[in-house]
Amino acid sequence: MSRGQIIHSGHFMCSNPHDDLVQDEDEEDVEVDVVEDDDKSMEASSSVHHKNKALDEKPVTFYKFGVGKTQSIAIDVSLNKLNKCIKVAYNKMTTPKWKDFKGLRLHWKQRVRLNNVIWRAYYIEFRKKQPEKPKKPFCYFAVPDDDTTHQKIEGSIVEGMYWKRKMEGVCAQYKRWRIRSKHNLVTDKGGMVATCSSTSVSSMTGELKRKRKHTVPKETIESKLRSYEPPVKLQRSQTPKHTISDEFAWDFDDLDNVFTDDFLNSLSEPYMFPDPRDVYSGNNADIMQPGLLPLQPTIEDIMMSLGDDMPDSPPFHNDRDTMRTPTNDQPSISAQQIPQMRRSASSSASLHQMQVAQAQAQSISQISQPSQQLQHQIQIQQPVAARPHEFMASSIMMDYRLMPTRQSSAITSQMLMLSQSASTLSSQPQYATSTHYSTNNSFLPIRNTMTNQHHLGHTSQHSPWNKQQQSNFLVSLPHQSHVERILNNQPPLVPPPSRSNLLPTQNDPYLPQFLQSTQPTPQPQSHDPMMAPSRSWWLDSPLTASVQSPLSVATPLPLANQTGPQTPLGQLIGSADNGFLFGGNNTPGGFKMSGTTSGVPTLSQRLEQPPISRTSTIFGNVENKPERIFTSLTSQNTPTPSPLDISSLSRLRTSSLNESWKMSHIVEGSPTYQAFAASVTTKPSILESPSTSGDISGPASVPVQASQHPPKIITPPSASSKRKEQEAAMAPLVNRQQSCDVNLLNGKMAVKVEEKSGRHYLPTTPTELKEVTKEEPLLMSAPSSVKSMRRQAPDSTLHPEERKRILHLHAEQNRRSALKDGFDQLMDIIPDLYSGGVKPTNAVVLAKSADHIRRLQAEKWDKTQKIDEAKAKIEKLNQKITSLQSNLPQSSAPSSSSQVDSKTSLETFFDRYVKEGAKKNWRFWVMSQMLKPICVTQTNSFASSVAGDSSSRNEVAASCSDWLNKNWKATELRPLASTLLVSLATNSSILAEPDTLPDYVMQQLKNPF
Amino acid sequence: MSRSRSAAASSSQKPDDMDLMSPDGSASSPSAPNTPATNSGGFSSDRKKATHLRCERQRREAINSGYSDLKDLIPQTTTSLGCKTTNAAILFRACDFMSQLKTDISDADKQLAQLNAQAAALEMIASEYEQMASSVPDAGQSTIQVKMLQLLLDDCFTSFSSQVDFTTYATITRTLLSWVESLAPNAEPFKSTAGKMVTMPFTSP
Repeated sequence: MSRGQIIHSGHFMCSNPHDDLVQDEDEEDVEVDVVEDDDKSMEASSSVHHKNKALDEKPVTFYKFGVGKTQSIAIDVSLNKLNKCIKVAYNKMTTPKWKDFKGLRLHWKQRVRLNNVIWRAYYIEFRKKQPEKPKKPFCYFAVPDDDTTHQKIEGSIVEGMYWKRKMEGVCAQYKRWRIRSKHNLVTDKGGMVATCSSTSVSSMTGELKRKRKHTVPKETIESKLRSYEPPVKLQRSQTPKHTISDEFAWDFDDLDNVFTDDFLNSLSEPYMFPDPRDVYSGNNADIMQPGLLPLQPTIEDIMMSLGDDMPDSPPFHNDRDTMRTPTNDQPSISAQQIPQMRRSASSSASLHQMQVAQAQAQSISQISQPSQQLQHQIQIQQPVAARPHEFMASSIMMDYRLMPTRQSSAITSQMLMLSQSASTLSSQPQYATSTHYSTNNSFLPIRNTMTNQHHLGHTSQHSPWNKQQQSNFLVSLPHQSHVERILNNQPPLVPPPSRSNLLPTQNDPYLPQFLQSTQPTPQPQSHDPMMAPSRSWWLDSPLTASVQSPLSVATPLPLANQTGPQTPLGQLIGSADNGFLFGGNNTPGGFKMSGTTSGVPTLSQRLEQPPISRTSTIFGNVENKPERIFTSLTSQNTPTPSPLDISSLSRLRTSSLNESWKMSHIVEGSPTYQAFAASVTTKPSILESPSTSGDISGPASVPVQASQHPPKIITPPSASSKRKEQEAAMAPLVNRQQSCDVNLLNGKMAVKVEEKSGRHYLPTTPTELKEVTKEEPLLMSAPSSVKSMRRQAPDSTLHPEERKRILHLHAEQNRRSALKDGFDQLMDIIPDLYSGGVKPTNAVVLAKSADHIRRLQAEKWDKTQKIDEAKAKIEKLNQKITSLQSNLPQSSAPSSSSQVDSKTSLETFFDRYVKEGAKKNWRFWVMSQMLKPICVTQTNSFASSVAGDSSSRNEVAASCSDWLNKNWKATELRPLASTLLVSLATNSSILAEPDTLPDYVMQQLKNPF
Repeated sequence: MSRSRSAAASSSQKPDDMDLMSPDGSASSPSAPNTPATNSGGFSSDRKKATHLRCERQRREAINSGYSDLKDLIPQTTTSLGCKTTNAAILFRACDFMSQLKTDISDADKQLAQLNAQAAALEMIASEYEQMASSVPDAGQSTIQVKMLQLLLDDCFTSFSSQVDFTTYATITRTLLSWVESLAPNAEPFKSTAGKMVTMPFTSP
């Protein structure tokens, strides 16, 4: 236990001092690159320099290590650094941000990612011991903002180094492509074009050679590994010669056939994926990443849809991942050590894992060396490089999106090595196999058989074990890359607060792309349409979301800076995940529980994703084309369509409610209409019923009822009066009255008999004789018939027939009683009922009532005529009185008023003179009637034309002469004559009796109006 | 009361018998020997039947015509339109209409009496004013215009009385129209009258 702790602290102390020294060496490398651009001969010298540097670094590590132990100064420096790292870690753990992360849904996923980052850090530590260390540390030292010392020292240098670093990354990718193509060509020495299967085999052989190179430095560093793996020594001795000769020989060939080799490699890769899936699933158990397992089916779907796109992306991603890993080295290292210190005990197995990890890290660092050499060669030929730069720039954008996925893939591949090495070891092979079976049984039972086969393969032969390792290494990368894509794409779909928390993980790697994007501005525009059509709807939506999110982050630069310090919090969460995962190794039951819990949210998210993604695709596709700036706005607007949808749903509901309301109206209307119809139908039934016939007429019903009552009251006194009259009158009068009463009774009975006879005739004709015989006794004995009617009613031999008969009898009785009442009223009203010596039968009553009505109407008309005449007479008298009243003031008024009223005085004179003249001779009246209009009444008459008394005599004479000349003409006098004659003919009877004219004249004098 | 009812019933029976006998008598008059054999003879029964049917038909027709006459006389109301009117309804309406007519006539009589009284009063007033006006003309005679008008009327009447014949309407028409032509200003007799009227204001004091 105590030995383990001492070793950890020792390793940490060794790495720190090297970082400071390495910075100076990196600067020297930059200068060398500049020189190489000018001359080709310098290539060999540059390679020699690299070798020398590597040799120098190795003794430095040993020297310092020894110095650290012996000298006090060295120990003090290392201890101070340890204190700083520990303080930073504790402070971060206690911050509120840490608390917030715990509550998020993506807690498990973040743990998985951070775990991957931590594993990378382990490998990077071991890389630093190799000659390539000096360049990488700059990247990860710059990331942590809390380390003020590093920022101050490296502020200006970091910017320049970022650009150069990325160029190196591009060169490294080319170098890897070339290495693979070389191996393929070596296998096909004849120069033939390789088929898909042959290319895959050649790639495997190439990997074998690479691993041989990697194993060489292990001997120099670690003696323990030698004891465990003796057969590997033989392979190591052979590798350096082949590698050197191959590199020098094929440099020129690769330049000529770069594109062809790339395409061939891309074609070969998809065939590699399906075979080792089972091994991949088994490896997941060792890696302790349960959250990824349920996502596997989706990966298969993606591979089917993206079969063509896959081969292009993996090699670039591989190179990028290796270069980007150092960015997170230092903080991750501090995070990792803290949980290690906390652990109560560290087993021997953990020690073995650490040693194996170191070996893998060394192998990765060795791969980077030949890539650097290739980088120098590419720079010499600039015209050829123009096209690859464009292509690489587009690939860089893709690499950024998939960066974290590649990191995880690298770690998983290393874990595969660990698991396989553990299985070979005799100490814990059974434990490892037990973990495989448990995971397979829980998640993928089908793959159990495949894993068993692989396990048998391991046990049977050692040489195929190496081949399987290589195949797993290649296949595992794309699988995990897909998994990471899914994990990365999910967060943007989640609501914004989670995005803000997740952004810090993306902010740091995004900054360099933003800087790069400034130079190749037109390229990203071309990038979008190229990728869009090839991908399915499921992938398009998350990609557009990912594109939108970085733009939104990029535009407000200060915000990005603020989010920077959040990254260490994520790393701390990763440290917690490590503790959990390591605990899982010890307790498989706990592992299962964690797997189940993590699986559930992923499934729920899958269900939620498709509809949201579709909407986002629509908005993103439309607006991404014009400009990317708007994409950020669209990303912000993505939550808005959901409320619109809600509003549309609410509208649909409201519309349905309106329809239901309309239906309710219809339903309400129908019963009211039915009720109205029922009421309408009831009315005619009431009218049709004979019993209520008296009440049919609304306005008449009241007077009918009123009129009915008085005759009933009046009848008894009338009867009494009749009796008195009978007593008072003479004997013959009494006889006559009695006979009248008897006639009335006979009439009533006749009515009944008539009705009965009419009905009896209808049913049968032969019974007519019997009916005739029946009628006579009815007439003889009326009361007996009534008695027989009453007797029939109570009889009830047949219930329905009896009931009908009884109802009919009642109806008839009601009808007859109504008629009787009506006739009684008429008889009371008609005054001359008994005149003429005629019996008062029904017909007589009806006829006399009609005559009475006519008489009353005529009398009424006469009265109206008289009233009109009286009114006219009154009007005339009123007019006369007014005229006379107007004449009276003459006697009492002064002379001036008399002058004004000359016309009225003439009128009065005329009337008086006519009366006097008519008394003497009646003919004078006739003449006066003719001349009256022209002398008095007309407007142009003598009275109105002649001047008044006040005027002089000359004026009077002149006016008179004028009047005679103008008005006294035949034309004026003739119509007066005709009117006179007509009035005489009409008013008087002169035509028939001319002698009556004088009498008429006298009457007119008496009654002028 | 029971006695009066029984008396009425007994009295009613007798006239029924008499009434029934009368048609039998009329039927038997053409054939005197058949009267004792009415029961056995079919001819007499057929005759009775035919006469009875005819009488009944006439009776029904009379009653129906009576109902129709009343129905026509009675003014129709909105409620009764479109509905079948029963005989009883016709009778009740007739009673109501008669009573209404009587009330209308009584109202008219009252109004007429009032108007006649008013007219009488106005006549009295008019006569008084006429008497008053008769006293006024004394002063009016002094006016020149009155004298001129009197002159005109007197001259016209002299010619009228001499020319017009009132024996018959035809003669009146012929003579009157010719007289009117003589009144024309161009005629000789009227010229002198016109001259007198014009010179009147100067000659009179």
